[in-house]
Amino acid sequence: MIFGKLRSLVLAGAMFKITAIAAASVVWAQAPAPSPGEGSSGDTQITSSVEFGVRGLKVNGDHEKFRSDLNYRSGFRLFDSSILIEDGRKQYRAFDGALIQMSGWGSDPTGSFRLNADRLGLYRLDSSVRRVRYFNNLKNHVPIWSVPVSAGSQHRANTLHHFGDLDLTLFPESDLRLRFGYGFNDTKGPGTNNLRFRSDEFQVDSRIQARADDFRAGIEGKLLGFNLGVLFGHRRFKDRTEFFVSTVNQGNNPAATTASLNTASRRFQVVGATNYGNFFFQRSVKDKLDIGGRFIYSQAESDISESDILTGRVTQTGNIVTHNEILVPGITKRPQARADLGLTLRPVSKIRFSNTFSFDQFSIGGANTFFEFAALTNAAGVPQPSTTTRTYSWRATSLKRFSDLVEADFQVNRSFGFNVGYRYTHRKVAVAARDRNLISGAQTLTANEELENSTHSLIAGAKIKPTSNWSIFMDVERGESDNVFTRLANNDTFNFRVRSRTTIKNVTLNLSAITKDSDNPGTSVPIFNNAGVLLFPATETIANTKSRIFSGDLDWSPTSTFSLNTGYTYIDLRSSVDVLVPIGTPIVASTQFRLGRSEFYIRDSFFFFDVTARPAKRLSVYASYRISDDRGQGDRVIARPEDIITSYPMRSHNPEIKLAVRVSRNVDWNVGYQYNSYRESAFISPFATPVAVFPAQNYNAHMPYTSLRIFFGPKASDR
Amino acid sequence: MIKFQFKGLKLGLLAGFAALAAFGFLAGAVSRTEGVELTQFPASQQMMDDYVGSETCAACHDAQSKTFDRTKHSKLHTLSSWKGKVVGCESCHGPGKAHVEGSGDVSKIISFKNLDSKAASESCLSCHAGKEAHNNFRRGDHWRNNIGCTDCHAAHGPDLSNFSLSSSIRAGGSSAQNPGQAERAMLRASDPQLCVSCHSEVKSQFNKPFRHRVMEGTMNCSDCHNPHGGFESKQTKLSVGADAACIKCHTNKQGPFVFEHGPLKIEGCTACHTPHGSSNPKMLKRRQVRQLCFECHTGIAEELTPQTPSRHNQAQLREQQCTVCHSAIHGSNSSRLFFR
Repeated sequence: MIFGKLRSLVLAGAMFKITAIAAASVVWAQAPAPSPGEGSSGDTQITSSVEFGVRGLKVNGDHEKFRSDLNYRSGFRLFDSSILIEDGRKQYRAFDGALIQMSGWGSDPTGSFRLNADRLGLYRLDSSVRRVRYFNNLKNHVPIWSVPVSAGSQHRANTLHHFGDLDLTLFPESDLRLRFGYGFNDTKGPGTNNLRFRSDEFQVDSRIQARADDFRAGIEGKLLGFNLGVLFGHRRFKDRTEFFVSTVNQGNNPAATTASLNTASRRFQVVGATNYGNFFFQRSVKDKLDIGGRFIYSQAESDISESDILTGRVTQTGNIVTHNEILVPGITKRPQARADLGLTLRPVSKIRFSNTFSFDQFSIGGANTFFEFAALTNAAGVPQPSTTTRTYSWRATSLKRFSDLVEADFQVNRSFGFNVGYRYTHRKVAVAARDRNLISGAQTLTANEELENSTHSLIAGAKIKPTSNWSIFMDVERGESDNVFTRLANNDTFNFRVRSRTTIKNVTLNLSAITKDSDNPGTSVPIFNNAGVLLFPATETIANTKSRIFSGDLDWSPTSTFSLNTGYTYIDLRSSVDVLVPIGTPIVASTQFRLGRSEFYIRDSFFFFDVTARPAKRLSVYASYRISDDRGQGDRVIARPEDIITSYPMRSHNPEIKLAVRVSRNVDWNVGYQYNSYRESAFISPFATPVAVFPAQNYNAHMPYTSLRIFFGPKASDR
Repeated sequence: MIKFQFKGLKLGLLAGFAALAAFGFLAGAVSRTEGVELTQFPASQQMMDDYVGSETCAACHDAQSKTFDRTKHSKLHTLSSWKGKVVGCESCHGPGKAHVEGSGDVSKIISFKNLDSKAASESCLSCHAGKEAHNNFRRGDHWRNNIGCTDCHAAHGPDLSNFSLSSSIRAGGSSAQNPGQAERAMLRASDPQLCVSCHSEVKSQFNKPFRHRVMEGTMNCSDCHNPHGGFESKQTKLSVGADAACIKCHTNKQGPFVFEHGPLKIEGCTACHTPHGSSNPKMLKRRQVRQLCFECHTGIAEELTPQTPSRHNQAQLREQQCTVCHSAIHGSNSSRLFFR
């Protein structure tokens, strides 16, 4: 944690150093003071606004849910700020333009720093460093086993995630370009998870620690009329997450005779690397034919080393496990190849034919040996026979998939164009498994399975411009989509989308409707018990999902000192799927499968507005309001134990008001207030023992803030 | 209670589609304006005589000229690799001599206002197509739906407002005093404001309790999507060679695992998650995890012995939380049932 904080401080320090250097440059740059709008030839011009201030915070209600949703803190923060430095000198300049953007550092859960710089003909640099403070502890997601369910989740996280990218292109406008890149991802922090021991589950603490570094280098250029490029990358990653308990843990099963975990230490050591290469080409021939393609090959590998040391009590017998050690070394590999080829032919200016072919293939192979040794005593401390398990497992998953899309589009005139197309996909998935008992030598599992499917779909679309300031876009797709793993059959899909965009003087109106229908007829596999007795025969099932989204959005800027943006979106999603659910005691004497329904509903209305106004020369006002109201499943209730009907009825609204007072040419003083209210319904899972009420995790948060925004540059007074 | 009639709605939408198409066709026919055919610009002397230079254009088009002067497009003449090529206004608009001599006759020059989006984009692609990010614009959804380069980019440089005041938590757009990517990439507005100006429905998803922090400025739409098209559906990007875009940040889900959970690599993360935002914890597509599990694993036969208390007995609350036991649900290196 200390190192995490140090890293944040170093990052923040670096950020402010850059800001300070830029600010110093501003002072230097103020002297020539180029005239606004006259370009930057011969001068350095800086345009900047940096806002910093403090936020207060008061949360009423469920603080854990507030943190899981928003995770704002009180204290110093940097608001959305940017510095653009444009160097118009003809010589001795490091860049033509450098843009630094920063947001959210300090008390926000997410912060970003971006630097983009370029010098025409020489280089282009794009870089970013971002930070996410992730927190998750919900009472309705993997809740702690207690009634009432109110203690929080068994899967918590409170991690710090840093990630960044740097991409440098040398000679970006020339026919020979060099590309270099580096990216990193680093996640660390405390959390909790479950550890399974002797047929019970135990919440354990975890120390999450994962990191990846990515290096890239490539070259692009033009050769024999072709645009060509090749990029090689190397990514290495490691996961050193640990799990542990420090006190006796009784586990989720409350019965007195079940297992307990006295001590536990689990270490995951995964170290891996991915090497990849990407080749592309493109050529346009006399404006009539465009041909482009890509080939990617990657190979990911990882070495695994897991070690567990556990002690505790055994289920039912009451024996004590004095030493339980698990060692799992293993390796995995995943070679993957992708190839894509696109052709676009334009025989005459208004007609185009395209063909896009894609091929994807990968195979994942992994193997481990599992070694477990357990030393036991009975309750009186008398040694019992120890147990040793030694198994070998091997798994392979391979996929081959190709698709081809043929399209034609016709631009009838400037106001109307349409396209039609046909897509074919074919996919083959093979899964193989082998398990062997290394002590007895017996093969305990041999499985081979192949799944193959093809899909056909038709697509069509149109763009209409009834007038020069009104555009209507629409497209439709009817056919099938892949769904091998989900229901052993393809989805029958019907997707339709229409958008309208109209601009009349200073008003822009967007309207859209999106519908998606998916029907999935299928047949469940017959279910047998271990003795080969048929428990449930193969059964016709159906999975059906329909979604409807209607959205409208209005922008109105009648004057240079007033703007309004408002909109409304309604989302209606209904999913209904046949499921075979095991139901047993206390509802029926022995567990049996029943055909039930899994249903999920969203009926969400979202409304927002943002208003910006300047009622007086030195005063600006910003006001916004957002409300999201999901009515979920309405009055639908679960009537049978085999049915699962859920939704997430909730209402959140978030008003904000901000006043900006112009103190001087370069400084605005801002004061604002933001409010977040969240309400959800308590959730009861009927037909479950014990009957648990998942409490509503309601909260409201008051967040006043004040800040100074400092403007630099010749246009500072223009605001 | 009035029931929502999906079938009726579908027919209604189709009828609306047909009506709009017919209307648009007729309206288009009425207001039909022939676009000027784009041409290549050979640098022969005879052809060069038809060019007048950007200074001449600036005499009438002063406003465009001033914003254009700040763009990279205006500085290409300084590059040795552009020697002998047409630069400035006429590199896109074509030779201006006839237009000038015709007292500004718009029919004598290439005016992008009179071109459809695809034709306008062909002009941009004649230079920009060679780079990897732009190579497959002709294979993308934007192209398919007739969204061209100039719908998002301002070739003369963006005209950004001076006056802006924005939310304390959401990233503000570019403005003259708070410049952003719009300024550098010649966009009409910054990402994500530019994207949501058409894709307005995603605003509601980015307002959900669990979401990627796009509106806050921590992420951009272009972190996951390539607006310039490509071979992937929904114009998503690939990361780490051929992995899904999600894997770039969610490092510990990338595998390969000894025991893969099939959907992760084959169906993709969106088999279970809603990437833009959701009310459901972990941005899941269903409120309860067991729904997602049952909807694929219809009938959990492997572990069940009917005469004994089942581990999957849905009458027990404990058994309704699938990931309590199957906690390594994205893939495991040591447990075939994803226990660890």
